[in-house]
Amino acid sequence: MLTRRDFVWTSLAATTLASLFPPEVRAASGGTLLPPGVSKAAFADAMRQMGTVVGPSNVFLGEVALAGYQDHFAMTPPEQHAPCGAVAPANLEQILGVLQVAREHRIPIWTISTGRNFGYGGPAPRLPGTLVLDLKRMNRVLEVNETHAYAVVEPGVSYKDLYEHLQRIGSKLWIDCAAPGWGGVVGNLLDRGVGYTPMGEHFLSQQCGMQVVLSDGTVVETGMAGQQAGTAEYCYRYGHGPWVDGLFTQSNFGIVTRLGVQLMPQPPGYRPYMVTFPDDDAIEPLTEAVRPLKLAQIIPNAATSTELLWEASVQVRKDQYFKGDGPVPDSVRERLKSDLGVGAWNFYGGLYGPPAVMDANWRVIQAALGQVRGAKFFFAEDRKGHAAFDYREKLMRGEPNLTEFGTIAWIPNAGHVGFGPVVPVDGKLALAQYEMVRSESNKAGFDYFGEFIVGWRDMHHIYMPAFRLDDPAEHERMRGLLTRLIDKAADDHYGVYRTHLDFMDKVAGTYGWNEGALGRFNHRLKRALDPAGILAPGKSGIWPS
Amino acid sequence: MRAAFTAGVGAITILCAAVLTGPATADQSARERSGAELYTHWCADCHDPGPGHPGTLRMAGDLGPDQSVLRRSPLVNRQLIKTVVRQGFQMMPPFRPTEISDAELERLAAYLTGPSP
Repeated sequence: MLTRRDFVWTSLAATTLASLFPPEVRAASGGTLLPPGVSKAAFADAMRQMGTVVGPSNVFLGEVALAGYQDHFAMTPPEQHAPCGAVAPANLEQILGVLQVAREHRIPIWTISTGRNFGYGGPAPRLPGTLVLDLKRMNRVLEVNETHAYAVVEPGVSYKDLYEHLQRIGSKLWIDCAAPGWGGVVGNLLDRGVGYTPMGEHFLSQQCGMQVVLSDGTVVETGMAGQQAGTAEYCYRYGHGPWVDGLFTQSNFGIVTRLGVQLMPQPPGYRPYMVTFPDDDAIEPLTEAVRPLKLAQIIPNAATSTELLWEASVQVRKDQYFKGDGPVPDSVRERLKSDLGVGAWNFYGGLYGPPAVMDANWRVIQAALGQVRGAKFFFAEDRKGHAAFDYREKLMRGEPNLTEFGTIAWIPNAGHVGFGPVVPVDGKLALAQYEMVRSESNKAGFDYFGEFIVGWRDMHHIYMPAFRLDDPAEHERMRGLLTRLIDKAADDHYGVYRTHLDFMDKVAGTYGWNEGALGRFNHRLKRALDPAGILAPGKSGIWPS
Repeated sequence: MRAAFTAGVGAITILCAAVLTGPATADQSARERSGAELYTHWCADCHDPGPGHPGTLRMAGDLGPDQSVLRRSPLVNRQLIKTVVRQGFQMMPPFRPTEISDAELERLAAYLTGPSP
């Protein structure tokens, strides 16, 4: 049997590739696990029953079949997040059937939509031995409403799927996608991810109406769809009474099986722009300049300030500039700036609307950002052939692409992981965050890859360091670095908005005010909504009783 | 389209087909996609020639600029393509059968290793 460990040696051509890297390159897969407390016979019986529900070919067991359900960028041994199996239903009825079997056998389930949130664990479950409920087969765009500017999608629809669908039918609606465009519309929104158009805050600005399955099989329609037949279910998100939709984001209280996604009508004009700043500490005055422009919506989209190495790494590799160990020195940073025509900080924004509106807004933006030392302004015609500008131009109008994955092409055989504290839009806080994270990153031996994204009134500091997959010492250093960063962020009262499987408990613990009241509240909800405790144990630090 | 499910018994009642305006329901998987279409959907963003493609950027570093483009590379064959897609390789995560079916993977591997059109 071909295993993940030795597959590269199965052909002569493969040997050519494999010879470039040591055998430790490929992470070993764990063997088949059983769910906690479930016997081998009971598990086999459950899998047989689930096979009758979803079809035997949609049940995946064993090391080879489960390779795609592991954390490909794991910093810990694969066994720590290895599933016992995976099942892939095609519709709501099959989900209900799978849930019934899971309840009867007390098998925990980890739901994924597209499972491509690499950097946070990908498709892998928090708890080893959990069964992955893979909803990728539910990949239908159920409706596109051109008049009211929304779509209704199933969980398996990726950004690329939805974009291609809209292109195919001649729609004039824009999606908003995360930077790696292979992500899922539903999964990213439920993880409270962000994008780069004026609708970049996915949960706040896009979500409207959910269908949710609870662990006992109850199907709930939220918002206006709570009526027998709502007419405004994808136009007004609140309905009547408590608004519960947020309970199903970053949680394990239910399984979202359908989502209303509000979209942006294509504007009459779009002009992406870039502003470069040569100084490392420019993030402080830049952030101060951006805040009023965002509050007033003069900059309507996600205002993104990208640091030098993030900007460089989507265009060139580290070995082209530096062959030593550890972070690139300042001399290399200066060469990168000069060769690529970029700054220590690189601000991206978009103008949207009729030409007169864009012209008027541009005058305000140029005057404000021009106050920062060394500001240089660029439009698309100035950056032809620049991969970094090209992919930002696409992102800010919602065209999915994978260029940003280039940050892990910076070094050979790499993965990456995300750390995302959120702070108010404040220049001093931004500079302090940058200096602290870059310093800690460099001390741990890693280059700093970071950007600050201002959605509206908040600022996400996204740090996505690349590390070698074939170097256990780097894994250990990365885990230590992230531990320190989470601790320091908590000490400074910066909350992390999203985290990798390995750090869910730790980050949840930083929200510990009043003897962990928030965590205890989540636990009470968990007991009430999932008394069997089978949905995604450990997600966001929420465990069953 | 919205269906109502009664808790416990799982009975299904179709309530309405509430498409207000716009195109009818679409299912991307309904039509069989060619190897070229599968490449465009799943691979091109990383492996097309030129800047802005992370797979190409990385392969240029590992194998040299002349071996950086995946399509028709002499370093790959069908079996390798199929194995790497399913198992992942270095920075490239694996793709599950629920994403690329076995039949689609055959067509994709044939396209990647086949002659130029």
